[in-house]
Order: sequence, then C-alpha cells, then structure tokens
Amino acid sequence: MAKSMLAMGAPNSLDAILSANKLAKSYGSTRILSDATLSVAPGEFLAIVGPSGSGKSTLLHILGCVERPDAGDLTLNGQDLRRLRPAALANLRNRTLGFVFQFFYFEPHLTVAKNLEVPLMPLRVPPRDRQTRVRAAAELVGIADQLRQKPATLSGGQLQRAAIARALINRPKILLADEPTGNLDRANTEHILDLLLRIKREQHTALIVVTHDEQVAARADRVLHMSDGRLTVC
Amino acid sequence: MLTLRDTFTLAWTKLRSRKLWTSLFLTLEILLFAAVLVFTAGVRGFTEGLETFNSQGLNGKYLVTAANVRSNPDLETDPDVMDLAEQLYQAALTEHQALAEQLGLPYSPDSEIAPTEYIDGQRALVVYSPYAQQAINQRMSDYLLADQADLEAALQSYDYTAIYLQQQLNADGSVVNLQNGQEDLSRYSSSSGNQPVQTFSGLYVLDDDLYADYLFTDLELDPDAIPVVLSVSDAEALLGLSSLSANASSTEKLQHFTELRAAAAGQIVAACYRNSASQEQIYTALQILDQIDRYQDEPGFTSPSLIYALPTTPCGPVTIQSDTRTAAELEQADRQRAYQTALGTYTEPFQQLLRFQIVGLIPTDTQPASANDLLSTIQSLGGVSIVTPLISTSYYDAHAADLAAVYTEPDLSLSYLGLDRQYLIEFPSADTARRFINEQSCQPRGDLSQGCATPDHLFLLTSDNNHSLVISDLSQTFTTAIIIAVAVVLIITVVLVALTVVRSIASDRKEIAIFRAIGFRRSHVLQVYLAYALLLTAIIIVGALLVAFLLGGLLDPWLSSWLTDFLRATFLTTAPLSAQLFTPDPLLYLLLCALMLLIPLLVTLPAIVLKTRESIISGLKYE
Repeated sequence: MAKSMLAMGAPNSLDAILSANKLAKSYGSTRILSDATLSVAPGEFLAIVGPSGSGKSTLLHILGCVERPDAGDLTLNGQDLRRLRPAALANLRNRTLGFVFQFFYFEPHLTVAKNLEVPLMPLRVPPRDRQTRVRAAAELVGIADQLRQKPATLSGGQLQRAAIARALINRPKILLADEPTGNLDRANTEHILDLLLRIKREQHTALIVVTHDEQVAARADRVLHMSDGRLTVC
Repeated sequence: MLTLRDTFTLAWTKLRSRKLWTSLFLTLEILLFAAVLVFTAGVRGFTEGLETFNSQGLNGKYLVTAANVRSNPDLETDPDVMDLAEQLYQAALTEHQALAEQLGLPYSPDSEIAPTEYIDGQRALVVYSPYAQQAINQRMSDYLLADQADLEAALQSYDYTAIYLQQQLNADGSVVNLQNGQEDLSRYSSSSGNQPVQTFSGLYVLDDDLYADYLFTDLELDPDAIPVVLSVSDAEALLGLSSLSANASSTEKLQHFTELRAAAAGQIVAACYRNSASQEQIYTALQILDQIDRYQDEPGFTSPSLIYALPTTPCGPVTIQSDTRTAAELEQADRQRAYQTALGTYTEPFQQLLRFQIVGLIPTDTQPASANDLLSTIQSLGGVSIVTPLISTSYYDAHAADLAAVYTEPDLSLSYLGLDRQYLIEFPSADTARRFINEQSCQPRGDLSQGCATPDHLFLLTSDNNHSLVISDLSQTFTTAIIIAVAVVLIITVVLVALTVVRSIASDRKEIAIFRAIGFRRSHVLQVYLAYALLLTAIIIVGALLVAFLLGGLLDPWLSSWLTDFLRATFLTTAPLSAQLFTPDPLLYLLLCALMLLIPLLVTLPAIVLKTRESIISGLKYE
C-alpha cells in the first residue's frame, strides 16, 4: 500500500523547490497518471522507477513543463505553473529546468560547442559569455576536448555527457533526465552517475531521474516507484 | 527574438539536411528564375531595339488614315439609278441620231452601250456604260462627302500633330515604262499576251516630311525629271533585280537592300505617256500593218487607203505613211470628227516622254501574308503599307500645270468611294491615335462598297499605313508575356518553397519538440523556419542572378549582333543603329527579387505557424 509522501520522508512543501499534488493525466480513455503527489528539495536526487508504460515519462514531462496535467497542482518555487502562459513556460524550461533526453538529440551539422549554445540562444547571451559558459559546462562533464567536433564523432558516453552539459548550461535548479543511462554500458553508466552526483553536490541542483536501472536508483536519495500511473515509495 | 546570427545558424543547418532534395529543388528554381530574368532582359532588349529601329521613318509616327467612305455608294443595284441611266441613254440616242442625220452620217443605236441589261431575268446596271456612270455620279451628290474642315472638327478634342493630305493622280491614258530606252510597241498588239508595265500610271502626292527618312541624301536632282519615291518591289522590278525569297537571312536581305539603294539612288527611269487617242492610233497602225503583212500576196488584195507608220523614236507620234483616200472619204472623216467634237468625245492624239528620277526607297511590306512564325510576323512589321510612287506635295504644287498634261486629279465629287483622297493624321502617342480610331471611325456596312460614313462619323479611320500602333500593341503583349511568365514561375517557386519548408518542419518534429523543451518559444521556431525559407529564396535569387548574368554576358555579344542584323533587315535601314538583346531593367529585377523573396515567405508563414502550434509531447514521441 502506498504511503503518504510526507510520511515517507519527503521534504516539507515549504522546503521543496518543486511540488506536485494529485496530478492526473489521461490520453483518450486511457488513464496514464493518477493522484501523483511528490515534492523535491533543492539538491535532492529523486529517482522514479517502474516498468515500461507505467507513466514515468509522462510524469517527468509534466514536471518538466512540456505537458500539462489534466488535474492536480504543480508549483515551482511556490509559483503555480498552471497559470503560466506558453511563453512564460518556455522561459521557465529555459532558465530553471534542464532536460536530458534518452536519445540526447543534437543538431548534426553544428559542432558540439554550438549545440551546447542552443539553450543560450533564446536569452541572447553575448558570444564571449557563451564561450565561457560552454567551456565551463564542457569541463564540468569532461568533454572540453570534443567541443569542436561534430556530434557524430562522439561516443555514446560522450554524447550523454554533452547532453548533460547542454541541460546545465543555464545553471538550472532542477535537472530532469529520462533514462539517461538507457543506452550506455555499465562503465559509462557509472561515469554518468558520478557526474550527476557531482553536479548535485557542487551546484546544489535537484535531480529527477526516470529510470528502470537499479544501478541508478541505488544511488538516489529517494526512490519513487510508479505502477499503473500511481506513485508509491519503495 | 533570437539574434539574427543564431537564427541563420540554425536555418543553415536545415539547408544542410535533406541535401539531395534541397539541391534538386534549388537547381530547378535557380534555372527557372534565371530563365525569367533572361527572358525579361531579352524581351526588354528586343522591344527597345524594335522601338529604336521603329522610330526611324514613317513607322516612328503614330499615323491614322482617314478616308471618306461614302454613306451609301451601293448605287449599282439601285432601281432609281437604273431608271435615271435609261432616261439618259434614251435622250442620248435621240440627240445622237439627230446630230448624225444633220451631219449626213449613218447612225446605229448599237454603237452606244446600253446602261442596263437583264441577267437571269433581273435588271442590272452595266457599270462601264457612260450613261450608267452619269446616273451614278448625279446621285453621288446626295450622299455625305467630307473634307478637311470636317476632319478638323472631328479632331477638335484630340491632341494631334499634323494632318497630311494624300491624293492620287491618274494618267488619262497609259504611262508605259521604256525597256532599255525603247518603247515596246508589240505590247499594244491585241495578240500580245503581255501587259505593258505601267509603274507610273498613277502618282500619289504626299508631304515629304512624312517620308524624309527614306530619301537619298546628297543627290543631284535632274530638273527635267519628276522626283519619285518608290517601294522596294517597284524599284526591284524597274531595275531588273529579282526580289529575295521570304526565307532569305537577315544578312542577305540587308545586303540586297544596300545594293538596291545603290542602284536606285538618283536613277533616271523613262516612260511614255500616250493618251487614249494616241494608243488607239498605235492599235490601228498595228492592225493595218498586220493585215498588209498577212494578205498582201493574195490575189485581189487592195492596200488600205490610209496607212499609219509606227513611231520611229521612243514615244514618238504615229505618222501617216500613205494616204490615198478619195475626196468623199476625206469628207466622211471630217464629218465623223465633227460628230465626235459635237459630242465632246474627240481627243487629239498626245504622247509625251516622261523622265522620273528615283529620289527615295520605301521599305513597303516585304513578308508574305502567310508568315506565321513570330520572327517573320515581326519582320513584316518593319515595312510600311503606303502606296507608291510618291511625289512630294511641294513638287506637285510647283509643277501642277506640267503634270496636268498627263495626270489629272480625279474630281472628288465623282469619286465613287472617296478613297482616292485620304488624310493622314499624325498623333503624338499611340494611345491618342487608338482612342481617335475607336471613338470617331465609322463602321463599314458589310464590305466597304456598301458604305460607311454617318453624319456623326464621317471618316473610316485605320492605322494601316504603318505599324507603329501594332508595334506599340506588341510591346504591351510582351509586357503581358513577362507578367504571365513571372506569375507562373512565382507560383512554382511558392509551391516548391512551401513544400520544402513544410517537409522540413514535418520531418523536424522531434527536433522542434526538443528545442521547445529546452526553452525555445513558438516564435523562436517560427523565426528559424522563416529564415530557412528566406535562405532558400535568397539562394535562388543570387544563383539565378549569377546564371542570368553569366548567360547574358556570354551570349549577348552574339545575340545582340544577330538582333541588330535582324532589325536592320526588318526595317531595311542602313542608319547607324544597334540593339542590345540582354538589357536587364534594374527596377524590374529589384521588383522580381522582392516578389521572389516575400511571396514565398508570406505563403509559407501560415504553414509554419500551424506546425509550431503542435504540442511538444507529440514531437518528443515522434520517431
């Protein structure tokens, strides 16, 4: 039986950077998400695990403001996200959230450096600042030597590091990752996990990671289990 | 808003994906747009060349011909005219019979031409009967006849430059060209099938201001010769030069014209004028000589009492070789002459050697009517349709009395259709000329012989003396052709650009979703894809301009030389004019490029907006 989040040692909503209360989502007549309630504190590493089709990715998309819930409340830094217009949401996704996708899409005709610059473009960051921030992010994830290369020349592990660097470029408060190690071997998975934990530690960034990799879940501060659209604490 | 640099950096990446499709599309579009650019520059060059060459000579003037085509000249079937002709005929029979009796001459009514006859039970006028002609002429005065004052009244509300009178002079008899200085009398023989060449039987008087460009310069005028301007075909016939076939090349035509001008300039051409009595004497002399030649060896042959001798000098008089007529025969001849004199039909034989000097050549229409390709049709516009031989009004005014011995100006009141006196009105613009024709011309009833003039529209107005209005219309047609070509290419471009951009957006769904997930707004995505469309059209424009100017630069020297030769041959001019085929119009190019840039953008915009409104999540799930 699922326990209350607060009762399960979740941060107090006053401390949480992100709070979701009774989120629900359906596609047609199919219920994907029901009464999902959770909160994440700054610098916390939260793993959401569960079988395929359980609604993990949908929850992550709602938390990452790329999809709206049918019902429930979602607040970020105390701001009610349901009231925000699309442009404000885009701004939020750009400045406060960082997204790491399983297939880490990159523009193949741009260099890695240019790809890392993409989230800086809506902010009209001047070129010199861009270079500084790109180099800092690349050094943080360990791909500084690959900045001039095209994405196609990078290995899977390097690409995932680049994806994390891109997500971090605007110094987000929350990093959301969808199966970040899904396509990586064990050694690379370990490297990425080390990197994520270092980011959490050094930048005090909250991590919400959707995974069904036990190796990842094992290193999270807190693990939520998702099954048939409902969250339970493991 | 994204910075321009970021916008075009991202747009450029779209261009680098789907390389095959993009390359094919861009190549096709560049070639199409280059074709439009070359086409417009070519048409402009061609039109300007046409107008430059056309500005020379008669074609450079916007002329309208005004002819007073009577209101109802269809008198030949009018029963009243037939009745009048019959009355005149009966009166003449009575008068002539009385006169013949008075002079002691035998008289037969069969010697008169009856004015009417019955054809299939229907009474018809015999138009060559003098009584029929008298009846028609009497009735002509009942119908509208306009003069220059009426024309000026019709022109009151139009801006016109000048009115020129063009009148026809006709020889009362024949003016036969001499062949190598000799008069070919065999042509008068009834057995000869050849008709005498009579280039100068009619002359047309017209102000030489109109055709000054066709006159030879630095010519020494012969004071005893009549200065005439001939058409190219008349000059060819006179000088014994064969005309070129319609298929001759421009170079051949120009060379032929140059040779013709050289041969014709100042050339004196002789012709013999004989009035009808003089011609009759030649016929009679030839008949008698023929009879003597045939029958003189036959038994019982008696030589005619009056034998004429043929002229011994070119255009000389017929002389009497032998006259053995009896006193009675001579008296009978005197009576006959008295009878003809009383009737006003006796004319003294008269002949005169005329000398004409060719002072100009007019390139009248040279192409056959069957010319059906565009270039042949255009080439046919270079000539003018003016009638020749022309003499100038000033020459006519100074020598009217001398000319009157041979040429008579037809009595306008007797002119059947009024077409022997026309006015040429010069207008400052094609539009005014066209408006004058449309608003003031009478409309022929059926064919022209059924009349045209009405009290409000006294003249038949046409623009058929030259082709300035047609060429003006042709320029308009070319402009229309440019608009159509541009419209077609624009439509194709819009469709292809829209298709390419929409295809790109459709296949970039995931990319767009990820960009939006990391903070791009819809307006940012819109900006990138509009820049992409802009890049596509900009590449098309730059590429097409390069191709067009490269093609123009490479081919223009050769094509312009061809065009200059073509126009010289078309307008048969040796004036130092030239044409340039590839003549881009900077303003038109600017307009075309702006249209090419903006219209695809405007048309593509709704499709891009629609695509950017798709949800992020559907894009993220798109594979």
